[in-house]
Amino acid sequence: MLGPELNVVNWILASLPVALLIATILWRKWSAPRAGGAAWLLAFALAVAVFGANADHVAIASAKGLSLAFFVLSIVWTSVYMFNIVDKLDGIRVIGRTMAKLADDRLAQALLVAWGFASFIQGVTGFGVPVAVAAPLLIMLGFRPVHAAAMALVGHGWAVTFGSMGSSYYTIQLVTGFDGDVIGPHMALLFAPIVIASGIAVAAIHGGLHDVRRSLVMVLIAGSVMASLQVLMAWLGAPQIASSVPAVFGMVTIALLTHTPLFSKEERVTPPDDSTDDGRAPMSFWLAFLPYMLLITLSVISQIGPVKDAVKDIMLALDYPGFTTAEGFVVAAARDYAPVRILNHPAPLIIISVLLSALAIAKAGRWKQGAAWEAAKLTYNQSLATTLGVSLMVMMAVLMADTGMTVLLAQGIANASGPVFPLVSPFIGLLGAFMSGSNTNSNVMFGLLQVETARALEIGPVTIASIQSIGASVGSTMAPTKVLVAAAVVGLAGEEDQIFRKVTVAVLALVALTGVEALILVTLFDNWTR
Amino acid sequence: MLSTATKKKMRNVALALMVASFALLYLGAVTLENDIVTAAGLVVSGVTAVISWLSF
Repeated sequence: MLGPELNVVNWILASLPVALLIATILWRKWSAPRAGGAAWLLAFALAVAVFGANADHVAIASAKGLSLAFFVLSIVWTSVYMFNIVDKLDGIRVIGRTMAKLADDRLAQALLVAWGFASFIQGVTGFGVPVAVAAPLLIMLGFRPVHAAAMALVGHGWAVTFGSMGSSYYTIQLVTGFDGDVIGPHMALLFAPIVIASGIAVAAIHGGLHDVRRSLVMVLIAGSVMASLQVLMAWLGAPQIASSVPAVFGMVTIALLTHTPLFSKEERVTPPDDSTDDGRAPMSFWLAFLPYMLLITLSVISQIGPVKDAVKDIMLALDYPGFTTAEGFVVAAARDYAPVRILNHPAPLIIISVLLSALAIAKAGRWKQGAAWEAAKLTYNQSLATTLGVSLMVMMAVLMADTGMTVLLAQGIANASGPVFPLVSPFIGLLGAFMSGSNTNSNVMFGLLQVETARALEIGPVTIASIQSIGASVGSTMAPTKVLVAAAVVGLAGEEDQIFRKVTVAVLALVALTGVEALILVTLFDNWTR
Repeated sequence: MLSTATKKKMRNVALALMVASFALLYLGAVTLENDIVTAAGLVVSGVTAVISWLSF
């Protein structure tokens, strides 16, 4: 067997870094850098003492972790900076006021922004931007920081697989070798209950069962519109817009339903006051929203074939050598690892958007002296804990993956589950996303393993491949990396446990629902799942 | 117990060490394939983890 032997002792040892990370964050209330540092040190010790790694292997894996962390953190730094500079120019107040006018009920606003708008941004960009944009918007609308962060995270979980222009979807398709015509619509159909349940989860986070009941008809109608369009897009062979298009129509549906008897309004919202510090009239919504519109526009343009091809080789990336541990675990060499591509990564796009917006804002006479420097200082202070936390956690995650610990964990779960494997399968997807903060990475790590296990157990492999990605899609929203981003942008850095608790309950319920629908499918419609 | 001001300074040091550790790890294990540089990178990474543990 390649890699460490699967036995109870090895499995328990492999799970220790993750267990330490979760336990210290949830129960000891350690901050992310503290928990991440301890978990990386433990993973280091286990990798060398038990899993056959030497100093070079640990160094390569840790450096890869830092490369991956840079990929994620560059999005955090730039998106937090973009938010701060727009805020310094009073733009966020203007955006919040306009959003408030679309729906004058707080619950409807929560659904509109956290379930609809965040999912649309996930559709066109992803990589943490939905949370970085939607959570501060919710704060502007008057939501509590914990609620804002948790709702923005849970609300867009359904949109991750087909989001980022379908990057995670294409990964699972490539890794498993299933034809797009087969797995695309199959997965979209399995996503349907999750789309609706995500809306219910947002309502539950906002106001418990009371708000779930109040918004049920709206969520069922808007969710059905979104789910149907997702299936349609996948069926039409357009998976790259199977999140963004449904999200737009979802927002329109929510905004329309808010003004009908199908939704019982309760909390009339007074829009934020439009006074400015200097007594001038506020800037227009379009000027305030310009950086975000530019980001969305540039993201779409960057996906157009000729544009994508023209700049695909302009990137910041490093090559890493492969190695084999003493336990026989083989790690392939990685060329252009975690590339930050000039027009295919949100960070450069955000920088371009900020620069162009700054020019337009200055031309309109709305620029404030020192705003850029003040925003930079604020961004540094807000992002310091996140930067160290994400770096240490990703170092730990890659070290575990590159020494066979992560595969061992998944194999143990798969072997122990047997006939109820469909129930467990999405949790393996969740595990990968939790460890790496990425649906795509989870699909790379576990996609083939899941399909092979399904074939060994004679369970429909297409369904299992689909729920691997669905579990990872939803599960990625409770990944420490994303939770840390959310905490940073809502001003709760160092108090991530509050967000983590709320998100974990919702995500585990959604992933369990995925498992239940898969179990029903493979039991009752076996032929369709293959 | 460390004072808040000391912790703030240590956090900035941890960030600087994290950047340094990446350079040492990559140079040691990939570019130069030099055991001493690699070991230095791992030590700096370990120190970064410990400082992060102490200062957050």
